[in-house]
Amino acid sequence: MKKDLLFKLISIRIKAMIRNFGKSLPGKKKSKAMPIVIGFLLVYMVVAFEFLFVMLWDTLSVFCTVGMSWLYFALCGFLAAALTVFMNVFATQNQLYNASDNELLLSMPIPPGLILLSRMAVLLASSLGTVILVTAPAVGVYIYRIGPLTAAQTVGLIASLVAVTLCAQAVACVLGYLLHLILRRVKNKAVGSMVFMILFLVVYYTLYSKVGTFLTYLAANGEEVASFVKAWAAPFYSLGLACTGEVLHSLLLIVGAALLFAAVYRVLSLTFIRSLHGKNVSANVRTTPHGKKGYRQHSPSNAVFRKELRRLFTSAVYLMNVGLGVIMILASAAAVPFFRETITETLRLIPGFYSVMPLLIPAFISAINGMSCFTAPSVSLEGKNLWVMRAMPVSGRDVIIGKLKLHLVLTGSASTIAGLVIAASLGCSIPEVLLITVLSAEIAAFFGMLGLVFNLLFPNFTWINEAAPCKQGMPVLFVILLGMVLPILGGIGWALLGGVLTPLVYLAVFALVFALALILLYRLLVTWGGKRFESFQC
Amino acid sequence: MLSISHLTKKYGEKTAVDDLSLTISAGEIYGFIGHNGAGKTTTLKACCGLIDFDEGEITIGGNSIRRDPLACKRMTAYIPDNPDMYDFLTGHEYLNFVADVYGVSAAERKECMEYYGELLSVTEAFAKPISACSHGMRQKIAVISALIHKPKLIIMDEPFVGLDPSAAHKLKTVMKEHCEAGGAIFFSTHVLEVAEKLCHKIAVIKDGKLLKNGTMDEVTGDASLEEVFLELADNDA
Repeated sequence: MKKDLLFKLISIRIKAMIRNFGKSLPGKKKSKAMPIVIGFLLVYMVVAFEFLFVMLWDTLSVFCTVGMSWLYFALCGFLAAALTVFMNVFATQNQLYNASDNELLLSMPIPPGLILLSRMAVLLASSLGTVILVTAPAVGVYIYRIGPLTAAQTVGLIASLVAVTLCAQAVACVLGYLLHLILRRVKNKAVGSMVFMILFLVVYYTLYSKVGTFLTYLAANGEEVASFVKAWAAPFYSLGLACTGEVLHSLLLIVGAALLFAAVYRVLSLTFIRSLHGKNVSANVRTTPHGKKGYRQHSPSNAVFRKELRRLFTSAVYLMNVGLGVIMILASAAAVPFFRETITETLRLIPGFYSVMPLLIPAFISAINGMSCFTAPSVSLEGKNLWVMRAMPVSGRDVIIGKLKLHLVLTGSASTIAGLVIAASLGCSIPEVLLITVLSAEIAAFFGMLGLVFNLLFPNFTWINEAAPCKQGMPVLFVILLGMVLPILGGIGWALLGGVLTPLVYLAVFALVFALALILLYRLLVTWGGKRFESFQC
Repeated sequence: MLSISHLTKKYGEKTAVDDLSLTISAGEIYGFIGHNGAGKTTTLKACCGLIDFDEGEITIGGNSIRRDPLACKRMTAYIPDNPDMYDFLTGHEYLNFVADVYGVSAAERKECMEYYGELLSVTEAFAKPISACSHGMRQKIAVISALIHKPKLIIMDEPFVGLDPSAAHKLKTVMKEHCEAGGAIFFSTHVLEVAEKLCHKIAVIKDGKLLKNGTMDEVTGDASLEEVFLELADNDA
């Protein structure tokens, strides 16, 4: 009975995920081509990741050739576990504690532990996917370099996959629980979540920047690392041995991982209801401003802008998925002055790159703007509130302008400042600095307007979770793709015209092209865009 | 004030509203009753410009909802049956937002929010995010948002759902005051007793067609509204 119930809960969860994804696809009649396009994009991303991992494991396969295959697999297990934990913490916290059907299910005669287990089971599937992503290239490289796996090794490998998945998810659940407890006590959850995400990313990028050094150290000090792992990281040592065919270690791994997962599940299931309904500082509770300040009048388009701003800073999903891009723009502007010598030296090492440095800056701004487009989900985010704007005497034009304002104020300002600071720090000439600054502002405005156009063409008002328009929506994917494609197009243009034009003139040409594009896009938005918004049915 | 002329709205093969015509004058509270799926919400939404319609015309204050929707919306306030307002705003912020869009001065909105906040006992909820408010509180905030800009016409879809008896009584008082001041109200309801006591005129709709409309006396005669409604619903079946 409990097993049936568990499977039912899991299947509801999976159906909801599929439905949410399906609702994020544009158009009332779902095109058959859309899943193919999305499938292609996903395959592209997976292939890109796998390529990176193949290079990594190829470097470390030296351990296999010197008889330390166990260390090779131990490192693989460690990386798989670390990446899984890193990528799953926020998703775990969200799916376990912020699921919209928690109250509905808890009101039914379903043991809370079963509800929790059904969610953890779905998360386990996603964790397994990440573990396989990391491990498959490692196994492939091993087979290529050393030879096929024996039966015992295959058993050990499967045991390792299961063990790493269980352990990594258990750790992600613990961290997710702690994150949930902290966020409950934070007034503005959206900003709190964003701060945690930034901290995570700082750690991630710090470690990522040290990968090269770490790999060199590993290759040069294999024995030392091996001794360390044997002494201080016994589970990974056991994992390594299991993958080399030690059956006993395979059993130990499975049992140990299962016990850890079970223990974490037990603790979380005991605290599940209390952690959902315990002491909670009401998020975003603000005392009503008294006096004149609380009743100040604003224009309709300003009112829309202020509403959009409020939505941004109270939505963790919106803030983290788009706002983070702005943080990255500003962080890069702050970092470049300190690392300019490293950057210029690196550019000098790549043939032809230093001479076109002024062109690389707008390319970089373009790529990051693809991830910082506030307008791409903004029309869809009206969702079930669409009737509010549609029932009031505010023109579609004013709504569009209010939404665009948000993007221009945040991403526009950040991009302009970043363009100026980076160009000046890297020693560009004054005309180049001016052009790069203008172009950066134009690029931000371009993305903002195009994001709106895409979202007006492909709106989705029937989402249940904000993740649908903010992460999975077609307009968001389009702008991310555009952020990658624009620099490539710029590069192709330079390859064709580089012999004729100087970087300065090329920048000027692009600035002019973008200026014209902006004029056209703005006209389109205030005419067609406004009417389009007014045509949306509630 | 509001004139609906031969309104027809189809969703694919299904005709949600079929050749419906009625007129609401200033000072009238006009009730709109019908079974679930009769076409009440479709009619109300069409009057607010939220959905297009296939045939007919709707004018508010002489302005066509098709040709000049903004002019119509400036004179109208709409409260849906389940007001999904911006959850991320507090009640105060939401009311300010609505007031900004309608161009209500700071002094006027302050007076309105304080008056209606106290009348409907919802002032304390203004500081909370709307997401943290109960359904009844949200309904009250929605009512205040409709009144804050002193509309000529208020269109409400089942406004009494979720209101406690005290709040429902106060809402009826507010509705009467609004009409006595020259406004008009067009609302749908399932609560026939309320419609009977409150409305000057009533319209009964079934399967998109208007069965009967007119003053309360014209529609009910000596019978109760419930009897008339049930008879009309059964006869037409």
